[in-house]
Amino acid sequence: MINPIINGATAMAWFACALFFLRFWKQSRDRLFAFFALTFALLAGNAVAGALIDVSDERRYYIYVVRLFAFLLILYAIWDKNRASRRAG
Amino acid sequence: MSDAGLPPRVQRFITTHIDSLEKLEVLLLLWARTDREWTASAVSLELRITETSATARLVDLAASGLLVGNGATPPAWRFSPSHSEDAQAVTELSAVYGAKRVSVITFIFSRPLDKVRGFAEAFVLKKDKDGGGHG
Repeated sequence: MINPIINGATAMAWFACALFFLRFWKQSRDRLFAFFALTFALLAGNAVAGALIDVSDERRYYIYVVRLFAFLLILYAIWDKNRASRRAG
Repeated sequence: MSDAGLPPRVQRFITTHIDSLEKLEVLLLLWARTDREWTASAVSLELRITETSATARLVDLAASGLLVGNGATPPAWRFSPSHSEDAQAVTELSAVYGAKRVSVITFIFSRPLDKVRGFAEAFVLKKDKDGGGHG
């Protein structure tokens, strides 16, 4: 019973982060923030999926694939930011 | 955030592209004189700023997609924004800068996005690695 509640709270927290970064992106038009917003939205979806998919369901493993992709997206965002900065000057 | 009664489009343009008065002056100079290409030394003579500083501003503006360089040596730039909305924003900014100079300057120095930009810049691992010598 407690697990879905924790998953829901986690999803909300990730989603709030995503919205913050979305606002930063709208203000600054810096792609870094767009990637971060996408990452946190993915993680929010991940938490929701974690709450909805049964523990015994084998598809649960895909959650970790998405999570890995989200973390790789953060690394890509940082790499992209550095590449953009070098190009700028 | 102090909007100082500036049109939203101008505010958005300043927060996105302009972080110093010098950059604004360089941009408006090139906007006003699109009939020629400007080298850093020509800009420095016209605005009485150092050539290094002029180069830095020109490169920054070109990176923002507002100027295009000719790739020659020494390089020269011309006002040619990649988005038509930027061209309209600069026209509007120029009019507002003429009418409400103090408001524009105050807005630039209020830097409402400083924290957001600072956060983004924290992810730049090595600054000026290529030896540009400006920033």
